[in-house]
Amino acid sequence: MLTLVEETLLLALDDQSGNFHPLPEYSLPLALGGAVLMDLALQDKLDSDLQGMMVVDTTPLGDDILDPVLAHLRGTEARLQPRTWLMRLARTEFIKERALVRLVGRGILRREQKRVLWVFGSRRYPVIDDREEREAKLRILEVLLGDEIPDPRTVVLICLADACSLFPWILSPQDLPAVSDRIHHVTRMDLIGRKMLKELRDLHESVNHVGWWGIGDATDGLASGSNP
Amino acid sequence: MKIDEENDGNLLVVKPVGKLDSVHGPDLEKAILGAWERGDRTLLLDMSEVTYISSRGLRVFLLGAKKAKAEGGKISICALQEFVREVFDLSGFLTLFDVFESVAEARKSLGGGTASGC
Repeated sequence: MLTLVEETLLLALDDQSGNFHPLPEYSLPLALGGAVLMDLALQDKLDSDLQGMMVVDTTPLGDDILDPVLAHLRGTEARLQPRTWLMRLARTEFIKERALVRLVGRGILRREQKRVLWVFGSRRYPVIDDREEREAKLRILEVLLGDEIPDPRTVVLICLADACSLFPWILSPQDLPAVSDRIHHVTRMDLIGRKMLKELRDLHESVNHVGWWGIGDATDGLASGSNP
Repeated sequence: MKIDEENDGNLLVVKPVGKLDSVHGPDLEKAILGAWERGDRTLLLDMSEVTYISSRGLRVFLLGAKKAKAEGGKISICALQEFVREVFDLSGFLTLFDVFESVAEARKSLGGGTASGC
């Protein structure tokens, strides 16, 4: 099974071109940070209640994206500040880079290097096996277009898709307006998903007003993606 | 986690005691799945002694509701304490289940025969 980080990346990619959809600035890095925290929650490493989030188990998972973050969370304050951690994680490159490497390794994406004007390189990741992406989209559609009760994993995936405005690439233009109430209803169903979505929306607002470097603090250690 | 179970006609009353969090939530999940596998399809969760619920605990109910809907069963809830009720309300879970104020009211409504109320 793919992680939420990988599923979010797949949903954010244009299958044919391999470029990322034109999402609101910084929304994808922030959502990937949220995806890491939600992956940790679904693996019972983090928990939350109405007062906030907390680390409940720091035993490594054997995952090269989740374990470095878990290690940094070890010894942290009793109650996590989600906003601080979302900013820290969003400012690192390693989450996206490692997830893309994994998706290429699984044969889901192909990495293409493209030169522009014979000088600048850009990378893109066309989809070569779309089964996992189709399965993720189907889970989302079954919940949003029907009255299916979602599983917790699909709830938080819908929260992440909402956080980075991915629904125009998942739903048809006709379906989009009809499901906004349903999206609101579903995204309430998980405390962590709900909290992450609110924090991500607030951070987008803040970034729009004061810019990326105007908020939060430095990454201290997570920037290079190195293990602690 | 201490979880009491009581058969009352076709109704299985499941009563967890304590906190439903990342430590104890899985115990309730196991109890519900175990009841399901034994063929108990009408469950009443007596929440009178659940004092706290976290995101992990809440997921047990979501999974239970999903399973019940998919497989033609029914899970009802009774006697929510105030803090837990607030979490259920914020999460929209009060609309996922039949929720009763007391065990007695729930048993009467669900066709249970005997027993102790809250």
